[in-house]
Amino acid sequence: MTGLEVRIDEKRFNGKVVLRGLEFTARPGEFLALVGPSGTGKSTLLNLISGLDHNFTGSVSWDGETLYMPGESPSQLGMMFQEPRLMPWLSTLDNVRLVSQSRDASVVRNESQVTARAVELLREVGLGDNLNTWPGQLSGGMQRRAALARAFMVSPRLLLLDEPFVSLDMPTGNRLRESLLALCQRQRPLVLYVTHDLREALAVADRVLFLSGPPARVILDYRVELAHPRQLEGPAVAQLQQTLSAQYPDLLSGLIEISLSSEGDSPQH
Amino acid sequence: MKSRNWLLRTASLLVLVALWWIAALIADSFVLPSPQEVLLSFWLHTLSGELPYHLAATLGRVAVSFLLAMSIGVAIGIFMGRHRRLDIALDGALVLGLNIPALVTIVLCYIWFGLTDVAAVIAVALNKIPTVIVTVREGARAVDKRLLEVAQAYRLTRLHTLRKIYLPQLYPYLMAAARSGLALIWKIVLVVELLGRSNGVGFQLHTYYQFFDITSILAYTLAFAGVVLLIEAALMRPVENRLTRWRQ
Repeated sequence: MTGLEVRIDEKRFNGKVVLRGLEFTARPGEFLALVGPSGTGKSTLLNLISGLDHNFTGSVSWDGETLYMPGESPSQLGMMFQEPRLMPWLSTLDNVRLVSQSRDASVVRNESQVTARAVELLREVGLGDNLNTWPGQLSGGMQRRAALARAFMVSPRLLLLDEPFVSLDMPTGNRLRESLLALCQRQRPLVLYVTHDLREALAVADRVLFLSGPPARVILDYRVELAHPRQLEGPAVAQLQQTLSAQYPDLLSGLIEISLSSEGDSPQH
Repeated sequence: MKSRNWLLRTASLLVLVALWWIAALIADSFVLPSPQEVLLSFWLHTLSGELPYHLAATLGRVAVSFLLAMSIGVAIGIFMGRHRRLDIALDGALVLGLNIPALVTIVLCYIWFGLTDVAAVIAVALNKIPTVIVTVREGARAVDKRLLEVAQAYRLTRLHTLRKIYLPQLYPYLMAAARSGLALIWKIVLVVELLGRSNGVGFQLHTYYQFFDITSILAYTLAFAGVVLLIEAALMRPVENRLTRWRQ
């Protein structure tokens, strides 16, 4: 089949089982949110799917091909880690350009095309005025925008996002989610969006996978039928959240958390 | 700001020369010649072509042993920093290498490989390699794995991972190794020349020592100091500034 097929029989971390019997499939272009309590191995799961960690039993296949070679990630993978992970010695523009130097022939373009595309993406996420800024001079929110632009630089077919907008204040988070959805709308990658915030999941995803506490597995696969655009603080999302809480009281207890605001969007110096 | 830095550097050097001058005036002895006497001697040795010849011989040995020590030391340092078992296996040899007196390595190299330039350069490099390894190993241990994961996830080529992600993290350590390396190599090259070569600054110093020609000794030292300052100002500092400009 095309798309993603995940079947994790068991994954241990420091001897402890963190994932067991975790299975799901997703079609190209689908937007999935993975929701679960903090510390349930959601990041670990993304590492398995991205090929960064291949030390588990089970299989991950992408377009019908089982897991990549050890140390290999799937081609045209876009990834946003929990931290922006920009190279502090490269300018914002060079950070985005960097990932075009991939082993995949499909993304190699000539220098000026690469630059043009990187500039376009950075403008799109609102960093048009910061092309030559060092990442250290950007605010937390701006660094995440740069990481978002970088993820789209490879024209991703698979996009893995690990709590990408966590600990941003509400307006900043909203703007970034809008940028993300606009970019996804155009390029249609298969998205796995990890979050511990159910409302955030309901605001962005087509499907929400609920993970149990450790060892984690999928305990509910819920299709979100809300029309876009959705407002994170809007009544529709709040109502759906209430409905779900009423419908599955045990399932969701402890899952609903309000995202904490700490980082602003103004430059730090 | 930049011009003021220069001013400060020059001023501190001038103060040193002034102190030397005063000391020479007070001592008034042939064992401590004054700056003008040394400058004159420097000029005469340069005109005769003797000083440039010996200085070039020394510079050649410094350059070759520096490159040799850096490339071998950096390679071993990176491997030891990355692979724990290799680190443990080689650690004993490293401690030994760090502590063997330079004189022992030099004498042994001359005995084993003969009184040749090859032996001289090997002896110098052997003295320097362990300290390069220690510094670079520290850097390789400190490399941020999370940034390497970015390279892996985006399937960057090995060359780009090395150039854009790995080496930039090592640069501060490489610069430290190069700086301290150059300083150590200058000193050891002179000893090597004194013990077993028939040209170079070290050889000349030995000759003038036998004649008690202190003015010439200081003239050679002056030439030498000039070269060191020039390398620092024209090469080391600009390279370092360029590599660390993102920190400013």
